[in-house]
Amino acid sequence: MKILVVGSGPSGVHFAETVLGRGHEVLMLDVGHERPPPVAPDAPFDELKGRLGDPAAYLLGDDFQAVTLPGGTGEYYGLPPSKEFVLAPTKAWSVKEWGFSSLSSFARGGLAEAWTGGVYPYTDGELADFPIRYADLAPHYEEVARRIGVSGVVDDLAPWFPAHGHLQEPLRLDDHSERLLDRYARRRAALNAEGCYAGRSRLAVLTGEHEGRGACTYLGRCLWGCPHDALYTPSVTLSRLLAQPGFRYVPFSYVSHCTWDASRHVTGVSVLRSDGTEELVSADAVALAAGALSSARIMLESVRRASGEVLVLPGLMDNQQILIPFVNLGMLGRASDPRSYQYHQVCLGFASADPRHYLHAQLTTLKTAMAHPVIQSLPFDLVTGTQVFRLLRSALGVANVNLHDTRRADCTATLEPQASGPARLILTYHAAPDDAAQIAAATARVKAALRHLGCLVPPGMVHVRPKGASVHYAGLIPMGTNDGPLGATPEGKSREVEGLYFADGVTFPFLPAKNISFTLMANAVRVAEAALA
Amino acid sequence: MSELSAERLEREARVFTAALIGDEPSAYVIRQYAHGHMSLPLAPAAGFERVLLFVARGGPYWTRAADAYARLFARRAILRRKLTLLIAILESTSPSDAAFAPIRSFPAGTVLRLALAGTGAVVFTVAGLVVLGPLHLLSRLAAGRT
Repeated sequence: MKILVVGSGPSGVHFAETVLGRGHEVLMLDVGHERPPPVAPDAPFDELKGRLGDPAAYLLGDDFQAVTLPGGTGEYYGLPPSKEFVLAPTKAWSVKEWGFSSLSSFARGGLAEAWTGGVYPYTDGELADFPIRYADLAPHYEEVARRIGVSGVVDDLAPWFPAHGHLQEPLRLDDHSERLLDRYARRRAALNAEGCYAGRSRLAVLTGEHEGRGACTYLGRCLWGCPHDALYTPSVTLSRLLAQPGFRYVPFSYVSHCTWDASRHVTGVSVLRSDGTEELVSADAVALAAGALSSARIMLESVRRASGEVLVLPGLMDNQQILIPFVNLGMLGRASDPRSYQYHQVCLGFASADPRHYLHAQLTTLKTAMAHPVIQSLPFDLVTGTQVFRLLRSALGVANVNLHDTRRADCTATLEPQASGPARLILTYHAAPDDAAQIAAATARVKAALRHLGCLVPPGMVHVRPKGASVHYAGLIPMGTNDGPLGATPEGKSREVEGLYFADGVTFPFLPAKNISFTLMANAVRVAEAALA
Repeated sequence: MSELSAERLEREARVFTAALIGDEPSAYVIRQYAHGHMSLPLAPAAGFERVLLFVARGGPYWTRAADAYARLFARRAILRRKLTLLIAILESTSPSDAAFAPIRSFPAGTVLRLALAGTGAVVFTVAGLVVLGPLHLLSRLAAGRT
């Protein structure tokens, strides 16, 4: 059987790997912007600036596009130039948004090429609105952990991060993260009484050899892209797939829509070439794994081409994110080691009466992040800001808080046909009625926990990121419900078209407050196995 | 002299680097600072923006006073954007990146230094208010007349 997979992100590559493992052929279509090769791959971050001929071009961009000027986005660290390929646009993609600021990727590996490696299975409580249980995903979490390599431990957060096998030793803790966990150990009873638990992040980062990839060597270059792929990204799997005989990868392929016959059986997809021409590519089955927004757009366009009808898909979801900077008083005046893992190593989990409303915060200690975005945001002149920053630098951290989201009728995706060229995707997002209260309550809980951990939150510096900034999109073609004009079976099969599968988050009927990528991968394996069964 | 002339930008880079890290900029930093002006929205300055830049170019202490004033009353001023660009370049380059490294100290020493930094901020803010407050008012009045 020839199966066509659209997209090379976490869902696409793990769907493809499963299908190939069963002896079928896979044709993967993708726009496929490529990652640039790493510069000075063996240089630690603290030596990089002295070793590069033009360090400003590498760290700030050829046109200084990574400089955060006053009055900018309010972010404390952004996408570095070496990862710009992840968000590089493609001509055919057009989107107009209300209340939403989406980011789309047409890169090999998709948005997860710029992820921070958090690997967090969903619990039964979080899956309450899904037509599947944790037990349905558990073997696939195991399989994905085996494929990608995951490091971590089973600790106080285990009730919210169910344990799975293939777990490597955790990463070496940086001094700041170690102090946070020490403090937690001393204040555990008080924190637990408030429903707050802390533990090690579970990360798709190797601490030992794994299928030809080496362990993390603590170069401190995580933000700019791991030069040795110790931090897993989907392009690692894509490289492995390219070596398999039954796999064919066709880049520069922007899939416009799916096609099906009179009996509503899928026949293939239409690919838009850069010269504006369309080419039909046939297949026995099609798996959409282009990411929730792209897969929804492909389905909207498919229906428009087939029937002339422009559908409105309800249920657009995104994890609202809040950035809470903090100063760990226990780290004041101490050294900061740039040769350490740079993303979050510690997580906070907050239990709720409704298990779907678990609140998740990742504590990132800032060691090699650029200084100027923080300095220019401080309430001082820039000389004082620099002095204050240097005095506090080793004590600085950011809690990245994720909130859950639910499907709502007024959060939609539809199309706006254009006079020429592809139709435009229209996204509309309305915050939930209790949105402000939810943000305030979450911020208060995290601030209180940080106080227990000996940290201060500077007033006026909490940043609520815009809706859509988390890049965790889901919900437009839900599985197991009839809520909306398009839907999917619990196995991820299209309700309307035979031979069409949804391998990405477009089918998730609820969005828990956790990084979505690990579940995307596990669910893609599950959908692939069901499709082949 | 044009706002973007190489000579003016080099002079700015020297004065502003002295203000920010108390040192001379390398030739690479000066070149990148000029390059940044071709890519980022750092010109043209008009009205009070010109006054701020004029004062800031007068020397490191003037730079600090002008910036302290701008932090309160013109947060997105071109002066602050220029200084932020320069910080970004300085921290990206060796050896000036050392000027952004953490300062090790006893906790009490850190608190004392923070207090000193805060005092400095107040002094320069007051100086900025005294020098630039009336000029800001005059430029607003002038703008109102035209």
